[in-house]
Amino acid sequence: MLINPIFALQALPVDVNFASIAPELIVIIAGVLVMLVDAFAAPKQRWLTGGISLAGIVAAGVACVLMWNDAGTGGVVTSSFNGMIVVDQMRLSFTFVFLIVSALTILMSMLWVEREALPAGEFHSLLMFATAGMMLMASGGDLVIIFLGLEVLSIATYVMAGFRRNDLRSNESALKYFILGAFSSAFLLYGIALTYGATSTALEGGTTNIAVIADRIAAGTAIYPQLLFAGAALMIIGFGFKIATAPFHVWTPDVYEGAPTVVTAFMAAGPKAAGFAAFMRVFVFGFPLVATSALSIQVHAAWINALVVLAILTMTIGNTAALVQKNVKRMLAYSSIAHAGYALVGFIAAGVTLDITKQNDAIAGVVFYMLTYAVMNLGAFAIVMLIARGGDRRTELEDYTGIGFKAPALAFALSLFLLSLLGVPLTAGFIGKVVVFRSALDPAVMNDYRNVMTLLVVVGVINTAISAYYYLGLIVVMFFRERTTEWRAPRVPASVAVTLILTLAGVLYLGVFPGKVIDAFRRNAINVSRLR
Amino acid sequence: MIIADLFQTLIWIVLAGLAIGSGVAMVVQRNPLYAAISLIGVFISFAGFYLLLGAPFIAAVQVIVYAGAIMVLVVFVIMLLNVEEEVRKPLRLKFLIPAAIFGAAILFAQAAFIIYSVGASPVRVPNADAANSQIGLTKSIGTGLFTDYLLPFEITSILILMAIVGAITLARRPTVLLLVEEDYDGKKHVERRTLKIDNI
Amino acid sequence: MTNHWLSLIVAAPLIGAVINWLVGRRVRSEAFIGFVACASIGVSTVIAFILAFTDNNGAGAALFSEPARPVMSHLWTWMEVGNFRADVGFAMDRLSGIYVCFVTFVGLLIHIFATGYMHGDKSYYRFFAYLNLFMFMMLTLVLGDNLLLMFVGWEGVGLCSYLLIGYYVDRKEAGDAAKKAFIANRVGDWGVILGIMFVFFITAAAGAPSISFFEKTDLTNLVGNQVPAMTNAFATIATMAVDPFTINALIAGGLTSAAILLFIGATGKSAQIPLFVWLPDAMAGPTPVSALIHAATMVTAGVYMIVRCSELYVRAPTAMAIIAVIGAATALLAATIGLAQNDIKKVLAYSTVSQLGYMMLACGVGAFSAAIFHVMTHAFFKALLFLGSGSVIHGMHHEQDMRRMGGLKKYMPITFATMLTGWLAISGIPIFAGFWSKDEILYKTFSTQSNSFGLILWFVGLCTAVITAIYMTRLMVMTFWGTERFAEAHAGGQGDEAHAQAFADKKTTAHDAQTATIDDRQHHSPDEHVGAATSHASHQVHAVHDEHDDEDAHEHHGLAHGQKPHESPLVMTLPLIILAVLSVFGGLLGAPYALSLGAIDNPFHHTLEPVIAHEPNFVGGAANGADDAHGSPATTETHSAPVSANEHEGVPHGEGATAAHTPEEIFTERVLAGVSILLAAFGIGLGWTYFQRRPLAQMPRLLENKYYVDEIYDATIIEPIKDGSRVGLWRILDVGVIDGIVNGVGTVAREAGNGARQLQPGFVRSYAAIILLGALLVIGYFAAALAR
Repeated sequence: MLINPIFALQALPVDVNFASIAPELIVIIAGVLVMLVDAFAAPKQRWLTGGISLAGIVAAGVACVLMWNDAGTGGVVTSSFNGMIVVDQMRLSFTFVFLIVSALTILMSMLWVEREALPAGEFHSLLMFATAGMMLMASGGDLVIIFLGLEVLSIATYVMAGFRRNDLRSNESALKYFILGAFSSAFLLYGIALTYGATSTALEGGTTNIAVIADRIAAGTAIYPQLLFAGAALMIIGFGFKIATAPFHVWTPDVYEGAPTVVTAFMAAGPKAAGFAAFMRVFVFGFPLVATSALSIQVHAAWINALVVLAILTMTIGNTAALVQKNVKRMLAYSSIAHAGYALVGFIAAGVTLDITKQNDAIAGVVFYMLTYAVMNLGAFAIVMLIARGGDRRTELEDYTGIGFKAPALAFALSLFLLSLLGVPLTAGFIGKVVVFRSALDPAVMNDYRNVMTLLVVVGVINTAISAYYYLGLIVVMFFRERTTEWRAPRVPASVAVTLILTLAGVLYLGVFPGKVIDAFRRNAINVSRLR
Repeated sequence: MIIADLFQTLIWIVLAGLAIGSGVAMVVQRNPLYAAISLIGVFISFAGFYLLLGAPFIAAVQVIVYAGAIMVLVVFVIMLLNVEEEVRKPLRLKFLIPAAIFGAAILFAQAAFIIYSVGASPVRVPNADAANSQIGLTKSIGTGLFTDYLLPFEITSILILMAIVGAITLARRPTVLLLVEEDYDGKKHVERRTLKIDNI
Repeated sequence: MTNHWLSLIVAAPLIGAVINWLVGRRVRSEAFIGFVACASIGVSTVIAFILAFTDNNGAGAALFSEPARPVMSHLWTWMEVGNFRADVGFAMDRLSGIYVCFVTFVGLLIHIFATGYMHGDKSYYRFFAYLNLFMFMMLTLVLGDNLLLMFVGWEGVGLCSYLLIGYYVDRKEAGDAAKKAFIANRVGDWGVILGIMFVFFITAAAGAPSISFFEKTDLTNLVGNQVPAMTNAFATIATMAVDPFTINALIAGGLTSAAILLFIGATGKSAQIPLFVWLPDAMAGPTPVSALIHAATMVTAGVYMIVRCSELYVRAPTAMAIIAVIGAATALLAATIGLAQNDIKKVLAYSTVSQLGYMMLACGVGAFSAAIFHVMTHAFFKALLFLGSGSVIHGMHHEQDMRRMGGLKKYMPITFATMLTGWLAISGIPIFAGFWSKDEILYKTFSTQSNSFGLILWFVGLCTAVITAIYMTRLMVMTFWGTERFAEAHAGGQGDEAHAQAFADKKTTAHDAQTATIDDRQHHSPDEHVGAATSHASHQVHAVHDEHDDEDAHEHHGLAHGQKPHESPLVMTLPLIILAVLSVFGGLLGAPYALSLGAIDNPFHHTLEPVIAHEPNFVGGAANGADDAHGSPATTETHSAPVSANEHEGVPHGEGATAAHTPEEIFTERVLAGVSILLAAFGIGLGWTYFQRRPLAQMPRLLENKYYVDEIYDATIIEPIKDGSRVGLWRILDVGVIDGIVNGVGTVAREAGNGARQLQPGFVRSYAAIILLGALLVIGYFAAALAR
């Protein structure tokens, strides 16, 4: 007699737990509220929607902190909605990063929506939904939630990229992003479907729950293990597109260059981090190495090796291509590709570290890296936005010629962000790289992968040396080249000034006193593979 | 039993031929309307597959949503926009054609290999018999949506809401926009721009 | 022991930099800015000397406490990930004590000199803010109590060096030189950061993960809380076995790998082969910068790091051999290039590279204290020579080409006299500082037991010593003796090259025989310079100038207005005089027993000895090591004690020291010293007789063009990378560009009016094709994995 899956479902009532999705709920409600307010408020009140969004993000942040304090102490469930949502350190840290990214983006956007007379309400509500999507990608314990989160995020970003409707570049950017994004989503979805099929057991249908996938692989009860390989490969492609690893990075330069600078800043910081959250969740926890299972060893080796090659390609292509760029946004786009490569090193380290504490350290390292990258990247883009002026017209390298002593504050701030992106000590970027490379060289890394990880770190460090060329190039252009044409420093409105102060403080704080943040990211870490 | 199996296989072959044929036709057709109708053919044959696999609900949804609603919308758009027949232009990226054929061949080989490995697998599935499966039935889907998949179901509503917002934002009626900007000379330029549909 | 005054040594220059940056730029008073800058370094200097030499809090001076205990100041824990911990904390032990003393002191002198040299510069505040920032970073490097904090200083000095080389922002070559320096350093830095990681994992594998230089127990932080204990990484390493002397050890991931990675960083920072090319170009910066950063302090950071990690290096014989060979090769190569340069600063730059090679050679043969000793004496005489050359350049109105000098001793007596001591010191004439340190290195190389080719290295070192004497004599002769060529309209084609280096955009004006009519001090600010030159309104300028110089109240100024060079003001000559005194007598600190006829027994070495590593095969053995005469029972005893090797090993200062000087050793040492004195005298004599007669002799082209090293690097490394980036492999993946060329829309047209720009030239279908290609590869790989 077979067990009917339907009865199994009926036997499991949904464990609805709103507390476990409080940050997501708050952000979504704020998004809806923004729409409603925007519909009834006077058209000039742009600060209103931004204010509501910010308030929502702060509230979500508070909820996040409350959950943080409870996490691991038994005060909060570790999973809810039948395993759809997980509450662990990785999720909460990533959520924290997303909230910071969104808050800074909103601050930056205040100037932009006003300057270009764009519909602020729509922009802010889309941004809030995108934030919710990112948070779902981090909190999903199930492939379905992760996919939905990714789609919510993607659709919002497609629209935001094309938000400046009267600009052909913006339209083109949105269209390219949409077509290629849909293309890659198809890969991801097909991968999920194959994984579902692969994990069917003799008694039940397949599963999309990451923890259960890991269990079934380990226990050897999956009946179509061969499909797992195809599923994992397709999911790597889908996620690889999202975080812009080579060779799935091709969309990045065009999309980043064409999109409004605010949106570019957001795309480089937020969705990339969200992509990492989901990517790590699925692969580190869904396809871990279990020594007793031949299948698990095989799958694990396959995805690790694939990622190693992708990481090397990503770092190298990102940095070498950035060398010859003449457009600052395009250069930063390639730089963002390179940074994804560095972060991948930490991701792979998490994959090849078996010790649970060390693995959590490695994951915390990646989250920290994404935080540092987000802060310095948003800061750099805020200045790029100011210098670009209306319509994002001034983004060529030559537009930066000799502004060093005409707008010293802006130029020095931008130099600091660039140095941080380069990874100079006492800046956030340095600590991020140290933390990521440290976990890659940790003795806890499996013996088989020692050499590979060393190779990755060597490639990474050599690439940082290469990257000095183009980051410094921009600084040299700003300070050592004479400007022949007239140029006036742009006005810095209060909201952007706040963004800059926050990001500058962030770059220095994370560079000088990173201890507290790193500690928070790795404290009380709960390993999701033990959850249901 | 053998006759039933044979009959099923026969239907499967017919549907597969229809799906592939319609798919090819859809790509090759120059008239957008014909392409759309070919796409309907693809959807219908997929619905047939679902029926063969014992999932009547999904088959129905396939027909109603895809072949029905979405394609009707597509056809309306084509008619309203009065899209002309595509004029064949000289191909600029000719090298992509052999590359595409080569790539498709490799993809096919990879898929075939994976399917072959699955088939070669010694494990057999006890409840693989489609007739006994509850998956794809209206009841099981309904139960799933309100138990395990409750949260995804709710999130989908957000997704749709946001898609609507996005669509409206991008496709709003032509409006007059003010572009205020300060240039190098410190002067403020105020520009009025009328958005027209062909600007987008 | 905790003493938070130590942190003030580091903090004071930072405070100075901040004040100058925030307040100085508004006040714009040179007196104020100069005072803040010098006072902040002065504070550091005073505290450094107090901590190093006096018995503070009854705990013993940092340099002399017995047993050797560092003065420490833990501020906060910088980062803690897993068992990886890096603190922000400073420590002064005997090594960093010596280092800090001369860095602050020489730094102070150079700051004072710079207040005169930079007089009239339009962004005076910026210069001093950078200079103070540099001191902050340098002191962080030296005093940092762990490898990572040292790396902060390491990168920081690189950054400040970048800022200061590129200080003359409107000269393109300054910007390029700055970038070159920074990138060459970055190339080395990847080695440092990996080396640090390796040290951490080596110690972690031994069960005591640490990157700290010191053992931390019983420390309190600023608010009085107890600091968590920390082990000493190098004490852990000191318990390990020596790596085998094989090439494979380099890539084995053990001690040798860590050592060689750190050394890669040192080749960048200390300008060794193959990364030395940046240092000569760095002379585009102001001369005080060259003296401070590119001679006395920053460039010796590599030596400091190696000595700091000496426990690691003595256990990595392969790395040691490589260091020795590279050091010797660099010394010889740079010396020969120095022979043929005509720019006075370039000669000194190559001389610096060459002397750094000596220091590396010393490290490579295990003579760590000799290396540090040479760092110190070199700081004295090279800073002196650089400042002297700065004084000459100043007096010559920014003429740097020695072919347009000559006969200056008449006009610049103080500069001449002081540079004379520098010349004798670097050439290795007895009594002068350079003699003691260079001779110690040569002797240690000769008698080394850490590798079998010590004799060859010694010979290379000796050759270098001769060449050093020759090129320094050439410099002196061309500058101070002979005919006064500066008055001639010397329109030499070759001259422009060197000239252009420092003053390209003003070539014609500065070249003008009438340059002397324009007050040279205005040259610091090129804008004003042009104005003055074109209007010939030099008297106005003089008014300002004299007003300022009244404060200095010295008689040398005004000696040669008009066509003649003139002596520099007191603020500039005073540091020269002090450095000259140090160059004469500073070496006596390290005079060895044998050469001082028993009067002095190398107190420098004995001070340093407890904190540097001994060759492991000597420790506890018979007293046959070169100068490890302290293989006395006391050493053996303390060494075997399970305490931190850095802090407690070694015998009390002076105890039983003389007993171990065997007659044979004394004899050898004296003979070798005799040989090198003879050769130095020979070099000077040769240079003197040859260049007195033919000061403008054409030197070999190969040397003049620096063996074409820059060109070779350009052709083999830089251009391929650039080309590769421009037309290379990545473009296959960035189809946008390919399509753009196909369609002829590669250039992006700008239509500023309506904000629309031409579409980006990438096609979505090409992108999709690439993604699909990547997908095929990934799926293919997984299918292959499945088949396995």
